[in-house]
Amino acid sequence: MTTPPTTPRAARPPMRRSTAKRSAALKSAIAWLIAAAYLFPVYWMINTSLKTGKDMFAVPPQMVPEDLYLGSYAAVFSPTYGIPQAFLNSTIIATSVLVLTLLIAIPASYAVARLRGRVTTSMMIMLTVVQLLPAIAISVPLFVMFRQAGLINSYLSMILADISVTLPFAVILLRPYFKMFPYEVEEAARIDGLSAIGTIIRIVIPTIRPGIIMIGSFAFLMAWGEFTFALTLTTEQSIQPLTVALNRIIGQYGTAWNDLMATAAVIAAPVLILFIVLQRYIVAGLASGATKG
Amino acid sequence: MRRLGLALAAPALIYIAVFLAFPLLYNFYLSVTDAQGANLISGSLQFIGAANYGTVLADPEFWHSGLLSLIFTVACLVLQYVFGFALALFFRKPFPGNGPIRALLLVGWILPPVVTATVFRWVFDTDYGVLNHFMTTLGLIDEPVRWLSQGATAMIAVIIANLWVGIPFNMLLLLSGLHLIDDSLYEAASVDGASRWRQFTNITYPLMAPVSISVLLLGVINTYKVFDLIYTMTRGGPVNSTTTLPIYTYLETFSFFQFGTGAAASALTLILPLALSYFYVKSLNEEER
Amino acid sequence: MGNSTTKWRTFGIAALTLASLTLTACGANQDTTGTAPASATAAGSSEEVVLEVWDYLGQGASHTAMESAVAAFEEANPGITVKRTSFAYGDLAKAIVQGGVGGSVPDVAIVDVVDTQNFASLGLLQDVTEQVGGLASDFYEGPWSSTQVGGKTYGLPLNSNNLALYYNKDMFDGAGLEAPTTWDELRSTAKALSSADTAGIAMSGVKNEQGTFQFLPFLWQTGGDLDSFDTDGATALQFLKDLVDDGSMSSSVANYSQEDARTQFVNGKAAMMINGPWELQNLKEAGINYGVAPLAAGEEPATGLGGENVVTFAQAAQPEAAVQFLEYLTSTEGAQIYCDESGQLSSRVDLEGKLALSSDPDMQVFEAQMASAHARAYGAKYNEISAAVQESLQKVLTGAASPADAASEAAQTITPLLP
Repeated sequence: MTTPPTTPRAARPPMRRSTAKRSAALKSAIAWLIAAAYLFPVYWMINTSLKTGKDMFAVPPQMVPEDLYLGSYAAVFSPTYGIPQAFLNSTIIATSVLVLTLLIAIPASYAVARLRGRVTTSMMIMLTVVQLLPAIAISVPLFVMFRQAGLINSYLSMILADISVTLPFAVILLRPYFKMFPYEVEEAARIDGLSAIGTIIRIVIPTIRPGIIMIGSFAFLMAWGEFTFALTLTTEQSIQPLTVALNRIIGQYGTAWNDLMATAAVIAAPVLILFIVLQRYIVAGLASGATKG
Repeated sequence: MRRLGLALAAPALIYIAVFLAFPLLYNFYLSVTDAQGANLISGSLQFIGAANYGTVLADPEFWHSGLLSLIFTVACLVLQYVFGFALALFFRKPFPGNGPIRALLLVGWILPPVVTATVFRWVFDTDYGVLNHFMTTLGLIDEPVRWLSQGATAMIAVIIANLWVGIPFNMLLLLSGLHLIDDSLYEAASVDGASRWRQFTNITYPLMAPVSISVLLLGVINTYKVFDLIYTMTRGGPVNSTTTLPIYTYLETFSFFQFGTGAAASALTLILPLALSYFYVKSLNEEER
Repeated sequence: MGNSTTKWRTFGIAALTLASLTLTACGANQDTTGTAPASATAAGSSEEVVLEVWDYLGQGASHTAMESAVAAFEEANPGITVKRTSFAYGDLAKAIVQGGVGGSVPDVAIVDVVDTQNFASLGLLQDVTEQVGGLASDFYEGPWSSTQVGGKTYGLPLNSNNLALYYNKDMFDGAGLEAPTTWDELRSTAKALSSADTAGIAMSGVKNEQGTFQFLPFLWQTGGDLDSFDTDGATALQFLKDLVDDGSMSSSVANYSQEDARTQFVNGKAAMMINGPWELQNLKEAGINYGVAPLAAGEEPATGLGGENVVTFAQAAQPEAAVQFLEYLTSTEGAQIYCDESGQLSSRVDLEGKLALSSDPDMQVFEAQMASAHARAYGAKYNEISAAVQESLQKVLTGAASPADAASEAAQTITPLLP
């Protein structure tokens, strides 16, 4: 459909093409500069995490650490700050949120995409509204509710609270995938004797795998970085996740910057790795909007 | 079919009812009781009507927080939209490295806000912060700026940190909008001799209006509710100069353990997102048609 | 064991739910939670008593000293295991109240003397009058009174301390200076030692009780008290503002905890700091050449009386073991172990002059200062008073208000709250 207007482009004289090339190269250079400036804080985090206490306070600051000091990472992985336990807690919480989100969101998205009724429509609206509310507004009543249920200081309370963030966006992002799936294929499968549930599991879900990987990685990342619920629903360090642990260290050692940056780097590492590995799914999800919890 | 739909949606429906709808209603209940540290321990709540709302509305700190929320939200919204739009235009046409660089810019969005805030705390440090160092080297300042230990600059610092997260996100959303505009429109315009600026004002901007509206709407809501970034960077301080409404609600509830007034504050905080979500849902429904 | 049991049980349920749900899910889903064994640990033997203890002594000499005291207790009481959790100073009080409201408290906590009465009035603490109420004569009056509410005893004092001036001897010798003894000397010395990358003095001005604890000595040094905050508070605040304006003290102290002040001092970024005796051991280990002097006097010498109390909780899962631990830790034996290693001063009369550090000249500075140490005994509303003090301090350090305005505003809040 774009064929007719493209003719003038093909007819461009060679000189214009080389300016176009040069301007592309210039743009590329500018873009790399922007990216470098933008990522400087991340570099500074790593830089500081590798400095001694004296070097991190050097004036002027050392743009490259003069002697590489790994003591901060040793401190982070020792029990002093409770980071190994917190790392385990974050892993438990984020993985559980990931699994539960998928288990709840997949059938629900199918329902709102395919089996539209009054209930599913109002559920969709409710989810859309809920993702817009501040987490702190939900955590006040949740704190009192979980208290009455004796669930303060439990993994379960944090996991359930985190799903309030992951579920809405999961359903909202997954629904179009189910919608796009051709209905005829489903009907054909059913004629072949598969049950409705069987069709969803055997035929539909494998086809929309990219969507599921996307919401899965989002659920994990959101739960990994979640702070508000963990801060308000727990008081015991033995079950607090990394985000709260970092906040705790800031409260006590607010100027031990090398240790703080090492802790920050340890929290960021799995996020960055996951982002690199699953980048195309995540960017696709982001681009479709509606996220950002 | 209807029954299958309900069955499949059941886990989600139950979750929503128990962990979203009920807490929101429960919050309103708490807001009309005298719930606070001591009587939650003893477990006897008294109904006290609208007294908590009166307390909150009479508290100058609450209004101050509202003002700060307004400043924070408007500043972030405008700047991240403008910069996001500029970057989106920049990245619209392919050039070598376009894809990977765009992905790199998303690192700010993907990092946990607590990590971002900690790093920016350090970057903004008065005495040893690298930002003051750069600004001094460039001759922009003679004296170190006391970023996080001064009211106005602390607000600027948290806005900058939030922009670091918000700009790439806005860019990405706006970029996917730009890609929907048919290239032939621009080509026809250049044949007619329209300048780049004319092309932008006559083609790009009007065609981007619907995308822009949903980006801005989403932006208001997401910026308004920011808690973790600000709390980690400043704890709402110095004094109360970055205590936005979510921070106010948190401090009221979990520092002073005034659950009743905290619930009232949070109910009042909810008015704006609830009102905006009406428009948001409506705009989504229109997109669907 | 109550708290941890419910926690694990809850988690077990979560894990089971997860596991069963995962089974019904699609086979393509590779679940790697690996959380199943957790539920097994819930079943522990009921004979072993685990005593949960919270404190804010998680680092340095205070930490190792508490570990030694705990080990001695465990040896003397077989069958009881102590499980310590250490919080940041600013987080402990919050965690205790939030935990109390949330229905999950430890058995014992080691808390700041100023918080004890507040916790008791919230109904969080166990009334131990019957067990230990008669021990008043074992302790100095100041610390003892901090455990009393309405004639009842809610804990026992563990140790006392106060604040003094630490100074970097190398820097002082290099500049040919002596430790300052008056405000004027403090100001000029701090200024003389300040440079582009070193502050003359560091202190904690953070927005919690530490900030109040560090600021109040300046108020008392004016000869005034909280009832004259309007004028004397302004004088004290003005003095700190002068230090900041001179470039002798970073305005960042508004965010510094006492540990942060130490970080600055140890790294040679501050020539002086205001801190307590618990840092003596830490500084020796850091290998820094330092000296200790009494806080510089204004109109009169003054410092703040601080310290820790041991309290047990009304909702404790192990109330009897909790009281055993409370009694042991504050006994001659327990307190001596703790104070000797941590470098704290004893609250017990019978330990006077018997501590390991009693002969240490640095320690003697702190001991001598006890004569001019003021207790923060300002009644039931002390928390709110302290919050107003912190607010004024923050405002002045960050330049949000002038000392006079900040002081008069704080005075309006404070005056009606005073007993």
